[in-house]
Amino acid sequence: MNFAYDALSRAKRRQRFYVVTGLLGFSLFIVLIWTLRELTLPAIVGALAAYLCHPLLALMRRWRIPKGLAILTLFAGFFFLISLASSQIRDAIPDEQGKLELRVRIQYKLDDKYQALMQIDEQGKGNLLHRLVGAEIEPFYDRLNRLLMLNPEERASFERYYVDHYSVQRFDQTFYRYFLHNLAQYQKRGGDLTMDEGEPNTGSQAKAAVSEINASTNLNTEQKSLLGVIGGVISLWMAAPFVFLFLLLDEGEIKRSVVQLVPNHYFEMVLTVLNNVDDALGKYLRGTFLECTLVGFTLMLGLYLIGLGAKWAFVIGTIAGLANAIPFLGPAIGLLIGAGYALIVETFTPFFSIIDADNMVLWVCIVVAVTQLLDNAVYQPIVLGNAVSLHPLVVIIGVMGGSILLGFIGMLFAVPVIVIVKVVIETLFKEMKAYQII
Amino acid sequence: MTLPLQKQLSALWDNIFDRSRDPSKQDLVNILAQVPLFADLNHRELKRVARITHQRHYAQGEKIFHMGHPGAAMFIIRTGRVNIVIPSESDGLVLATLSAGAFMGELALLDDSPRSASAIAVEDTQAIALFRSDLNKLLETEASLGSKILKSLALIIGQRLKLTNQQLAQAQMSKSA
Repeated sequence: MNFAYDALSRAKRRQRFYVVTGLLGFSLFIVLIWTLRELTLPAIVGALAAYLCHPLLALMRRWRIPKGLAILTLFAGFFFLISLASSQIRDAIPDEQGKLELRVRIQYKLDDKYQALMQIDEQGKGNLLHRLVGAEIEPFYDRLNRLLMLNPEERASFERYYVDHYSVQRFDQTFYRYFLHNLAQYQKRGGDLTMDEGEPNTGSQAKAAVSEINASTNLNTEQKSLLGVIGGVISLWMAAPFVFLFLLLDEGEIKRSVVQLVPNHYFEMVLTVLNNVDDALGKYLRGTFLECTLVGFTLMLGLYLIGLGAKWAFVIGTIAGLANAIPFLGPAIGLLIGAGYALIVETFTPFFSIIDADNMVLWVCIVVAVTQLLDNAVYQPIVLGNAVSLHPLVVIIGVMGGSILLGFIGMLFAVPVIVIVKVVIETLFKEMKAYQII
Repeated sequence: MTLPLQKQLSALWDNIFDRSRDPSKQDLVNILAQVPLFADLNHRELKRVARITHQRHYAQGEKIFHMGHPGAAMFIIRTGRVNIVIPSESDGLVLATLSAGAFMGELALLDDSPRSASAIAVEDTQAIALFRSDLNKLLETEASLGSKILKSLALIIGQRLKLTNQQLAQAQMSKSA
C-alpha cells in the first residue's frame, strides 16, 4: 500500500526528484572532474584559447568571411603558435650533458662576477665592499657554490664526455676550462672534492657502480615507461585543439543546454547573470592576454636589441609574457630568467657598442624595468581600462593560495578564478535584488 | 533496392550534421516565419535566429514574466494561451489573451526597463524566448540580419503607438461627449 507516497503532491515529488537527481549529478560531476583531472589543464587551455578567439571570429564574420573558413584559419593559427612556442622552448631545454655544462657555466660566471665585484686577492682580502658585507655574503655564496658544484658521478660523466669527444683537445674547450677553473676555485675555498654532499668517497664510488648496473638493467623498463609517459602526455594534450575547435563551432548550444535546467522563475535572471559574467570575464581575460602578449613582445624586442639573440629573446619573452599573468611575481620571474641567461651568455651581438658581457645583466634589468614601466603606464590603462579590478591584497593572498594548492598552475589561474567568483557573486546579488528574489 | 553510394553518404551526412531535417527545428523555423517581427527574413536567416532561441515550457497558471521585473527576453507562444495581466490584490486586470504565434515582452529586446505587465500561462504553454544579449551579438556578427529584426520591431512599436494614440483620442472624445 502506497498511501503515504500517493498523498504527496506532484510538486513535492518533483521537488524531491530535482534535489536527488541534482545531488547525484553534482556528485558524479565532482567524481568525473577528479578522475579526469589530468585532462583538466589541456581542456582549460583549449577553452581559454577559444574564449579569447571569439571576438576574432566575430570580426572575421563581420568581414563576411565564411564561418568554416574563419574557424579553420583560427584553428591553424592556434596550432602554429602552440607548436612554434613549444618547439622553441623544447630546443632551449638542455639534455643531460647540456645541464652539466649549464651548471659549470653558471658556477664559473658567478665566481667571475663575484671576484670582479669583491676583488679578493691571494690572501683572501678584498675591497671595501668585501670588508663591509663579505662576512654576510660569503656563507650564502659558499652554499650556492656547493649546490652548483658537480658531484663525483657528474664530474666523471662530464670528463668522460670531453675525453670521448675531444680527447687531448678538450683543454682548448671553453667549458672544459671553466670546469677545471671551478675545481681549482672550489678546492681553494676549502671544498673537498672527494666528498659528495658530506658522504665519504669510498661509498660514492661503489654507489656509482651500483647505479650504473641498475641503470643498464632498468634501461628497457625506463625507456618503455618514458615512451608511455610521452605518449600519454601527447594524447592528453590532443584534447586542447579539439576543445578549441568545438567551442568555436558552438553557437550557444552549451549555454542553452545549461539554461534548460533552470526553473522558469529564474530563467531571465540566469540569462542576464550569464551574460554579465561573460562580458566582465571576457574583458578581463582578453585584456590580460593582450597585456601579456604586449609585455612578451616588448621584452623580446628589448632583449634582441641588447644582443641576446633571436632564439633566446623569443624563449625568454614568451616565458616572461606568460608569467606576467601572475601579478607582482610575473615581472620577477622575467627578470630572473633574463638576468640568469645574461650571466652565462657566451656569444652575443648587441646593436649598441656600450653593451658588453660585464654589463649585460644591468642591461637586462633596464629592459625589464622599461617593459614594466610601459606595462603600467601604457598597456594596462589601454587594454584593461574598464575590466574588473581587484584589491592588491586579494591578489597577493590569492596568488599565494594558488601556489600552495596547485603550484605554478595555481598561481597562473588564481586571479582569473577570483575574478570569476567576484563577478558571479556581484552580478548574482544585483540581479536577484532586481528580480525581487531576495 | 539499394540506394547509390553517393545518396547513402549524403543521407548519412544529413543525419549527422543537417539539423534542419530535425522536425522540431523545422517546426520552429515555420513558427518564427509567421511572427511579424521576422517577416522580412529569408529561410537561412530564420534558421540563424532559431539557433539562438530558448525553448521553455510553462505549466497552467505559471508566470512567464512579472510586472516590474527587468526585461531580458522576448517570448513567442508556440502552443497554449497566455494572459497579459496588470496584477492587483484581487484577480488582476487582464489586458489581452494571446495564443500560438503571438509574441510578448518585445520591448525587452531594446533595454532592461521594468516589464509593464505580467504574462501568465492560461494553459500548459510552450514558448520560444529570444534573449536581448543574443540579438545584440547577432547584430555584431550579422548586421544586416540584426537590423532587419530591429527595423520590424521599430515598425511594430510605431504601429502600436499610433493605435494607442487613436484609442486615447477616442476615449477623450467619448469622455467630453
